[in-house]
Amino acid sequence: MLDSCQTAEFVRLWTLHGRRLWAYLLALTSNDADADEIYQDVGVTLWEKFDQFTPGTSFEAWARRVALNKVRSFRQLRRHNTVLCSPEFLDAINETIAEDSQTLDAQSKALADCWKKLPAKQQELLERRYQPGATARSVAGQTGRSVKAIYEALRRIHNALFECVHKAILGEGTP
Amino acid sequence: MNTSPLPEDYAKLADLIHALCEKTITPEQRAQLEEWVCRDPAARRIYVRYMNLHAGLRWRVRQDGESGVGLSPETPRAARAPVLGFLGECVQQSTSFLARPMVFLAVAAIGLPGLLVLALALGILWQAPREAQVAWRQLPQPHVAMITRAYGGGSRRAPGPSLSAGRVFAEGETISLERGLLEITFADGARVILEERATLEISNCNAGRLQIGRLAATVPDGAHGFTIDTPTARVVDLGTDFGVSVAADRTAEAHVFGGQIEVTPKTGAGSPAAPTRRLVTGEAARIRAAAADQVPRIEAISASSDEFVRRFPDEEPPIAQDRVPSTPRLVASVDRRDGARGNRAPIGEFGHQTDPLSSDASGLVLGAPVYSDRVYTVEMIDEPLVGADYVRAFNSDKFDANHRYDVTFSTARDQVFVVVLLDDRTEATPQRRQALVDRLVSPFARPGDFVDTGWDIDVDDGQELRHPLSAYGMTVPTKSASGNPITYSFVTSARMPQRASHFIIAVLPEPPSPER
Repeated sequence: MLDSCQTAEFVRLWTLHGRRLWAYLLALTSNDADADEIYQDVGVTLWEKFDQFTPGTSFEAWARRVALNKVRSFRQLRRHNTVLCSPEFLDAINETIAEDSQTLDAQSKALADCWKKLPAKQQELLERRYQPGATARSVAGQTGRSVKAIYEALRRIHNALFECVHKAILGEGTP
Repeated sequence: MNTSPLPEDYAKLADLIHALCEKTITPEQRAQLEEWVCRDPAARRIYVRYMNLHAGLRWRVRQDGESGVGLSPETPRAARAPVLGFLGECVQQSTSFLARPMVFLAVAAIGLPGLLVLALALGILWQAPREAQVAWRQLPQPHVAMITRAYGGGSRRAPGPSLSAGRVFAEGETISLERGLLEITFADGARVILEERATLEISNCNAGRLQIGRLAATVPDGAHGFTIDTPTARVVDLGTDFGVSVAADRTAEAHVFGGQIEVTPKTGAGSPAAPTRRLVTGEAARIRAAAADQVPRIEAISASSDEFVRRFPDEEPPIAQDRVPSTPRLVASVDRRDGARGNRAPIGEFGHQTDPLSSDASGLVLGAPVYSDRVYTVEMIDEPLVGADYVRAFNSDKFDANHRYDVTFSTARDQVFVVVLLDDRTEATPQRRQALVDRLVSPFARPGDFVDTGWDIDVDDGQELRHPLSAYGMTVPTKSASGNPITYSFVTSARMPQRASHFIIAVLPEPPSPER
């Protein structure tokens, strides 16, 4: 059993690294529901093993190792067609995330400014789309537009945001 | 300088990623995307960055939707957490995201100490300065109770915040349990075991309201005053273990297993207050619903601790003490003959005579693997079967018409209770399933010797599906008059229905007592 100081430290580290870990899982699973489930499992495992964590070493690196193993197990258990499946894919993505971590951090920071530049209607559409369980179809039902129109609108918004954060990163000199 | 993030060739890649995220991607497109990403480092970077963008959007929008705080990261609270360093605004998002029921699970499931300290940590962050009062009021309320154990109920993999260990509750949330048992620990330390077909509202960190059903409460020193309201009475702990039930007609009962409680009947508006009665160990009271202008009467009844589930199944070994498998385990040997060949996880490649993998050391329990060639696990199990030793058969043998499992049992016992667990989908009617069981055990049992025990297990096939299996059982001797082990052959004389799973052989030390 961890003492209260260790518990507080775990909470601090988990809070600190939670978002990046979730993004990591989304890239590995390509499915937000799967990322949610594994994220929870990873949290439980890290907590249970936190007395083995060496202060001063990288919590995030440790968390990612655990997460990668969880994803591998998850794929063995649940081979369904919502994920990209091959081990090669996992390894390749894992390496790329490690290499690209600076850019990914910069991208996350730039997203806030890029969001502000979106027209209100586009922000509203994204808010609807990213609610739990929402899909392009459900958003279409809410807005009275066709599924195809919503799909295309989301594609354009995503591409616009992608371009915006890319330019912001270049402006900051991030490679 | 080219500032486009997507060279022309990669516009198609972006479309594929978009289709993936919107779950409209076809299998062909999926294969194309996977091949492209694996082969091309530039494509891989684009994929990772797109997914990072999606992650960022989802994180931001969802926490915004739940907290009511604007999407701007420049909230006052963000500035209050410089120690958290990187990602600035993401700190407060992380905190809020962490507080969401689904995500909070990740930390909350680890146990109550974690919950309490986390609640403290969140509380510190929620102590917003004056200028942040609006945002503060809009933040989610802290959680005051958590499911610390679940048994035989909903699926761990159920989408959404299912009733599984780690689920946390804020004040006013209601738990409706249809099946199984839940252990709910309140923030002040009181612990209740809620039985199936019950509805409990979490009132605060030290109180609940039982609308219907039964619960047993254990209250540690620090949580005295723990209160359970019912439609007809309020039960207040004075340092004790007690049970409360509420029937469909709103009649409430309170039983004291140890210590003392106070029971106060509820009266309608304008009616005189009803007197409070103190009950001590071994006492119980029944309070029936009364007319609006009448004071409900407290009726003394005999306390009956047996009527309540007071001990969570996991508190003791999964198998009750009287059914702990002897050493060696009850299954002494398994010889598989003429089964199917194949190559499936977890065993890998296997031949006609390959013997099964060892069964789980805890026997049949939640999460135990059931087959040698499938990653299927026990998702629900009726109590009498918990801990049964078993043969981890090959599911693929269902494709083979004439295979056989020769099994011997430990002779440390003269007899054991053998169970055949048969997938309910094998045959449409109970009569036909019985006939199939009779065929499986025909080398040593007459038709009808194996009877339907009424117990079930559910097996999770990893595809979001649960397959119910029914248990048929019979007591058999383990050794001959000369003391030699008896070999029991389980055979098939025809292919099993392919839609169904294969059967599972389990063994208990003895048949269940009648009251089971």
